[in-house]
Amino acid sequence: VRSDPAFAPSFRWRFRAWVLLGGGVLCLAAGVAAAEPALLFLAVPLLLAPLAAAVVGPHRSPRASVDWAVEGGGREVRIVGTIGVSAPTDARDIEVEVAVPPGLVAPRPARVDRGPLRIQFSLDCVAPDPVVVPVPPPALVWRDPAGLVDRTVTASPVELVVERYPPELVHLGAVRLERTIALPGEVPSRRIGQSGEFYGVREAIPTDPPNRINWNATARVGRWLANEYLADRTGDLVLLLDARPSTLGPRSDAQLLSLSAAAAQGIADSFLRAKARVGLGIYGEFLTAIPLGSGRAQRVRIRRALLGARVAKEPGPTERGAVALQRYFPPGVTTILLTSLADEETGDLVPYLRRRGFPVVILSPSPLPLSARARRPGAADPEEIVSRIARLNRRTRVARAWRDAPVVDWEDYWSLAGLVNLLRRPGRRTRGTA
Amino acid sequence: VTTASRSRIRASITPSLPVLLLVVLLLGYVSRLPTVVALALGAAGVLVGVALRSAPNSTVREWAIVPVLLVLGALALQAPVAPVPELLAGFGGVAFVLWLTDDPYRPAAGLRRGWVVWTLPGLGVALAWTSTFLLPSTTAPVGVAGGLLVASVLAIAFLVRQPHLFDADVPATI
Repeated sequence: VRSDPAFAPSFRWRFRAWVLLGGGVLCLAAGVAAAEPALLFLAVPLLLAPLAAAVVGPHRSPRASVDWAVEGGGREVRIVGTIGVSAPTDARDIEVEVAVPPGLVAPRPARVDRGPLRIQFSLDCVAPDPVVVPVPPPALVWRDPAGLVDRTVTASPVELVVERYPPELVHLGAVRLERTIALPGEVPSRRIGQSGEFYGVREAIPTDPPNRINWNATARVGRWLANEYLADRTGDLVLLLDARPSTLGPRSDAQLLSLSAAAAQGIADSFLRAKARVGLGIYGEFLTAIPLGSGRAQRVRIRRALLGARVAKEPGPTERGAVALQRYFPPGVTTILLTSLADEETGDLVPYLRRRGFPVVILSPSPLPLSARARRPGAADPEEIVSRIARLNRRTRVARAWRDAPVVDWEDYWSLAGLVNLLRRPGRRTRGTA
Repeated sequence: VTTASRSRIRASITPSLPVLLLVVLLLGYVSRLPTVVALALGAAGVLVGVALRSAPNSTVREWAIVPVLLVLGALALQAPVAPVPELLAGFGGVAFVLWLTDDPYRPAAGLRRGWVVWTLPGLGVALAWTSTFLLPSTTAPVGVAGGLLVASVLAIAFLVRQPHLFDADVPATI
């Protein structure tokens, strides 16, 4: 009777072991059949070596601790980590396979340095485009020195996510958003921040600016003291990702949704840092919504939802998206719609949203750079004509969308200065009439 | 030949390679085959194994053991019935396992860390050889040896089909 119903053997024979065992049995049979004792002597080590390899290692799945992190900035991503094992397991017998996260490019394979009890690894990658992607945990396998048997290594590394988005988004949180609650004036949150209602005095830290130092209290007590405030909530924001399939095809749709997810993560991060309430909607066939919320827990909720965002197999009707959004979010909340505007369907969502009282700003990742990358250098004239027509088509779609809402045409994926400028000027956030 | 291939070939010439080559050549020398043919066959098998081992593709590297094993089998089949060829055949297998533990694509000191993997087969060969040639032979031990041989083959087949027997169960309580 097994103590754990989920118990699965971690032990595996490798290809080499099967070759040795097969060769040993063949030698044995041939030796007996042909009366050649030399073959019997050759069979002995071939049959014994895999069994010796099986008993020499740990008798259960060895445990390892993985301490890892994502380093680097901008397009550069460096995944570094340390794997620790305890004796009698030898770290030099552990095979480490570090996979490149999807959406990143690794010019070189991972570098692995081994010691008797510790393995250090590092993988240098480049993010060609903004991306939010989980890092697959390193695959760890104990392998005997002859490479005959494998045992899976038990390790529970913390979840690691690579987040790379345009740098302008870092200061986007300074934008004042519309509030959706009826109370006039400042709305104090329960969070301590740098501005708002006075909350209390604390010991100053070296990074405190001079305007936060409480000079009177400092003079009275004789040590540096700083003020703390109950930060006011700046407003509410909804990020709506259009995950419906378009005429571009599944590959381009997935790439554009990945870009939208990275931008949404950057925007949400920035506003959540400024104590704003941020909600998320992902509309594929149906709407997946995370209601308005603030704080670090909300950041994790949004990130988890964005990591799970996939292009839907069937597109949901346009009106369903707007109706469903109304069930989760109050009308009047600033809504950033991230959509490719690749066809008529994707552009039609905006009027429905506006009719239900959502002031919409469209952030549209352009598919043109993706198709330009796919083009061969020195392509023939027909391809050039096709790309010109695609550009004209795109312009027409963006111009049509402008009639209902301001549009940011996102062509340079590493810059969102257009969106930041638009949101900083509240008068330009609305367009046309509902 | 690029610099990378040259360095890979150089890395494949491990300390255990001369031992394997020496045993294979000696086995070829004492075999019933013409000496030149036997030596050429032995050297070719080992060199093909080394060449495959230095391939950049890991799947190709896994197949490096096959030519060496085939050559060992062919030479052992042609070995005469005498104590020295049989000892060489047995230690050919041990040298082959020794070569396996000395993998250039694995961390260094594989020979030392995997000493049980090649020592145990070595002891098995030594035991079999001494019991065959140094103990007085009668009819009864032949029957006992035959029985032991059948039992050991059955035991190996059973162990290979039940890999979970090598796993310790997870305790139900701490």
